[in-house]
Amino acid sequence: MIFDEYFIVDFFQTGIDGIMLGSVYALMAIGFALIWGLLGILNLAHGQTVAFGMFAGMITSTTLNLPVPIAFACAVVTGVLISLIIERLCYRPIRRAHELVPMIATLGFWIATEEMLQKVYFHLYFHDYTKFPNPYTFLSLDVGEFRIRFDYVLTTLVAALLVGILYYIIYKTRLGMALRMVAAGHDVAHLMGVDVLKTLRYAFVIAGAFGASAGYLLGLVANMANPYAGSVATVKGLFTMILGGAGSIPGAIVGGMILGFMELQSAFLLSFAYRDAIAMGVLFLLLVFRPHGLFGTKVEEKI
Amino acid sequence: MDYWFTIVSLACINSILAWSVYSSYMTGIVSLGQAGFFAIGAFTAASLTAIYDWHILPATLVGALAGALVGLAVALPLLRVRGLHLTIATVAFVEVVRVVLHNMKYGREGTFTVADEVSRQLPWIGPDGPLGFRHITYLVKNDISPGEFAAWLVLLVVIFGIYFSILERSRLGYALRAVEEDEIAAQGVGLSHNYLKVFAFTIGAAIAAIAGSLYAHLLTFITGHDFDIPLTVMVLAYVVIGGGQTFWGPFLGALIFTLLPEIARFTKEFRLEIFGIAMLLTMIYREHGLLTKTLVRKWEARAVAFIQQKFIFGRSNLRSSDSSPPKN
Repeated sequence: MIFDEYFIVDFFQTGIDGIMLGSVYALMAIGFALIWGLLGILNLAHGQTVAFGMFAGMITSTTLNLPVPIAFACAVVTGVLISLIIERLCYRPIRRAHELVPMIATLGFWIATEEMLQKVYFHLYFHDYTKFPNPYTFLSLDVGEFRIRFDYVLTTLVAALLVGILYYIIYKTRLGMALRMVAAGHDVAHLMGVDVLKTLRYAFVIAGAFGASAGYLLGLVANMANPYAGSVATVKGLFTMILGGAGSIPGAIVGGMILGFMELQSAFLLSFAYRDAIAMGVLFLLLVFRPHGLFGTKVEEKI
Repeated sequence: MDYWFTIVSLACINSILAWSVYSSYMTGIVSLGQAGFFAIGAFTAASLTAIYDWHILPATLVGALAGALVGLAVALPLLRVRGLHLTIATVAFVEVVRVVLHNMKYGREGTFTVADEVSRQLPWIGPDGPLGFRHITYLVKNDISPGEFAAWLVLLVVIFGIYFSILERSRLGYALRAVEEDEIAAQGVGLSHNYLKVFAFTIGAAIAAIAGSLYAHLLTFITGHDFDIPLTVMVLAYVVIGGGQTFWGPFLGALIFTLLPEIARFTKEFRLEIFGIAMLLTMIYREHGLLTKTLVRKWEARAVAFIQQKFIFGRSNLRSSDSSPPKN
């Protein structure tokens, strides 16, 4: 029975772990939220930046024995490259089409690259799930009765730092001003002298960097690089973004925390087997009662 | 030969599924929830035939009814949600259904079969948690050969094709298209877009459930994991790649993506890569899908003219000579 004398401790321990894990979900969701907020499309291939970032980090740190910061940088560069390819292939040629068209194109990219990644993984390079090197496995901080894993702390700190940088870019630089302009409307931004395509390319660069860093941190925490990480990341990131409110960055952050908290708590309190169903059921109900998410703004109706 | 019959059956099931997406796609609802209804139909009908020994026809109909009821229950709250938010809400529904089916157990113990004599365990008839629903032996028990089953499925596809071609030319079809074009304008001419959307979504759910029942009986073994997000996205891709403007588009998409990997056997290993790249290229070069409305209408007119010339002798000549103005 879970309601014993340790229940309170376990409850808060699970909550803290959930919120820290949620910071990775928030990083994934920010990539989705940026692209949705600026372009109004679902970038289903965004999970691939997560997967490729994870693999770049894993390969560089296992074969070259690079320290964590340099491997992290390699992962981010890979993610940015993947994101630029996505922009070039799946968005640029069809940006005037219906919103479903780029979505299906990114879906095609997702399927193709995931299969390729899996084939490379199993046929050429590795034969089994390889350990993602984690130098912090046995480090932890003891705060009162709680034990906090050091890699979770590191993840949360890195996520907070990246979000800080993102806010600096958005509100303090010319690029950020251009991004906010483009979010308000492509045509207006164009008339005001903003190079829309160039700004959008920067948006994809930022999204790729966030995706790849989420991938690296996820690999670090889970101690494993998984060729299907892209799919998981797409599903979780998408749900996080919708939970917080589509296109909203604070929404993505809070949504990530809530999803992490909810997943671990429902596994702890209710049932491990129904964990995903509970999270998705909550999301369904939330969408019905607050169709624009927690932080989303209501879109004006025509009448 | 049985192998090819099975492929034909799968192609039929896929095109029925593609049409179930198309049913709500006509009103502008992009549903990714079809895998959920597919699963509900599959588990309901398979339970009825395997556990309670029903005939497949009433079982499929009850499955369709269950799909329609769940579809109605999902569609009514979803009226509050729009656009891609709605699409994501339907994905959430698929996940809920999948996880519930993955953990469900009911049914009865079966009788000994030869295969089970080694393990000395009675087979479990019914969904058995993560092990899935095994022993759906309706087709074997009733001596329905794969060819016969494929023939019935082709007949069903023809029936659905006729349904959609009539629907597209009816007042109801035009009303559905009007809702897709502009909800507010449709409301302005007196069409209830809420009613039309719920109708289209419910019918789509019922069609998906029928496909699910047939799928379960064809495969004889289903688990919750057969009905996951990749499946539902793939079915939407049939519609978008084939072309969502006429009912021929989803049909073509489903046929291409079921038959192509079988015909081009050497591509088997790189099937999904080719599939993904084909999707990408189709979207880049033909954003309305392979079959657009103008293309279909042109070919239909051509086919009608051909039939008139070939089989209704002289009728077109007669009419042209009659209606041509007298020359002075």
